[in-house]
Amino acid sequence: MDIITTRGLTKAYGSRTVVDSLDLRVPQGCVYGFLGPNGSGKSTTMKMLLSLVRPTRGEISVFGRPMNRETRPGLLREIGSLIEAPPGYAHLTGRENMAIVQRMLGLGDRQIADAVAVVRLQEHMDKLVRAYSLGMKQRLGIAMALAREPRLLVLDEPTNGLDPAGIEEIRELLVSLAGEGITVMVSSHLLDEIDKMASVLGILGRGRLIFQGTRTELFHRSLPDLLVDTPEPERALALGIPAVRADRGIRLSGFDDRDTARLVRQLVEHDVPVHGVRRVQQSLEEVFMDLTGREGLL
Amino acid sequence: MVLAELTKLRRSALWIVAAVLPLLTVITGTVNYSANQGALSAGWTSYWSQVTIFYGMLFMSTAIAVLASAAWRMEHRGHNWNLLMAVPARARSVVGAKIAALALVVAVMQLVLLLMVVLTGKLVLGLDGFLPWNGVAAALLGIVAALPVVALQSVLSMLIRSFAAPVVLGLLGCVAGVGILYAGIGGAVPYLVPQALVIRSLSLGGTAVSDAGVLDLSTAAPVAVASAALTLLLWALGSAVLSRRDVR
Repeated sequence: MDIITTRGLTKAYGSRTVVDSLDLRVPQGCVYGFLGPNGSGKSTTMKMLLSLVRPTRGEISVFGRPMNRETRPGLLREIGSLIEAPPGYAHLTGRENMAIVQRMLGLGDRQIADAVAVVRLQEHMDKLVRAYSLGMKQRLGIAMALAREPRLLVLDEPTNGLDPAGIEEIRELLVSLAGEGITVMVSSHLLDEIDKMASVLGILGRGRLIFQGTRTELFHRSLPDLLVDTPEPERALALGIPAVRADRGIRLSGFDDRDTARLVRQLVEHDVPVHGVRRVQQSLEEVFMDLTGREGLL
Repeated sequence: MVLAELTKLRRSALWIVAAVLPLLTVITGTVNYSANQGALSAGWTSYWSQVTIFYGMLFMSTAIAVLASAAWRMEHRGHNWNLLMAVPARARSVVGAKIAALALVVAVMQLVLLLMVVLTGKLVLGLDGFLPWNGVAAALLGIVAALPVVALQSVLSMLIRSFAAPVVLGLLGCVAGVGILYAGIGGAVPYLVPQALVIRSLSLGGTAVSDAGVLDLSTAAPVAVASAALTLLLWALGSAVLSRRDVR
């Protein structure tokens, strides 16, 4: 079952379309990595899912129910969120901030204590939030999102500004939450951070969904360069093949399986010795960069 | 939601405003009363009128504007709008809770004023007897009459990120209120401008404004009814705008 589905989800401010016809599908119990360069529309999309922003067009369904003004109070009871940056009232302590959440949502003391324990913030609850480090603020924000014991967590760049140890901690937390059946949708502009925890990826570029699926499917979508090992690359190039010189032969881009077969036949017909044909191993970063049009993401 | 709003007011500078403003008002009123002993008839009514004339015309509404701006600044700063709007509550609860919390601060401010007036009258000016009941009643009616100003300023501060702009708009309201009072504009107009309601309620039964009128049920009831109606209207208006607005 899909926890979130959208159809043609669009947001335009005047003539500027920031989110364009998204068809999202977030399966239950997964960590859904929502990737895209800064300004690609991730936050706006997440805000629409939470009904913080009204879509210009399109439909949103959460837990199989449509999200609109009438249904939002019921749906939001089961959605924990952290959007753009950690919230919090700086002049209050962590404990008082959690008390605000408790009172707004009508939660019990145990739910608050559990959420604080999960993010390991117990020792800092009597400090003013003003004195918190960014990592502590992020953890407080996540505790605020977790306190209502949500079925769905929507987290916008929760690892922003954290050190590697902090990032690892959040990553482990999200994976363990997904293990408990909570669906986690987490956005980032850093593939590296998401790749290690997400089982499903959605990639956004300039407001459009350019890929959605598993990591393996993402690799299949892209076409790695082809390397042909030959001791006589000059003869191959003389045939007019669109290739460049490589270490032990020639390198070709954009050749699918059929092109490859035709190429090998051509080389053999012209007596060019072929020692081997293989695909270049691409990193996930390279795949991502290709898909998003190398907008300087990483 | 109201309890959550009250928690946000802890350790807030709002309480300083609620304490300092009555103090300034009482100092101004006391100085004015002492300096004009010749012109003013002695006694509590006269002293109370000197205190409330400036308070009603300017100080109270301006203080409410500052309090509302400060209360909403907490939401505008950081990313608290995202938190506030992602709770399973309707817009009317969000708007109403803030108005209720601010009304409580205003009530405290009014009680501090009353206490200070009594203490200063007794200890500094050495007035005989006690503040007459209609002074106390006018102060309490002032709380009710302040509700539309609370609602108006709260909605303005909710919609405008700037701290100063809603305060300036509030001051313009005060100018309009004073104008209505002194131009003697009657009919429904004084009951439609929130700041004019505050001026009217606090001058009732006093001697500082010549045609203020006595404070009794026939003068207090229209103020109370108009205040309640205006407050509900502004609350509904604020809620309608908020429920249609995107969180930027």
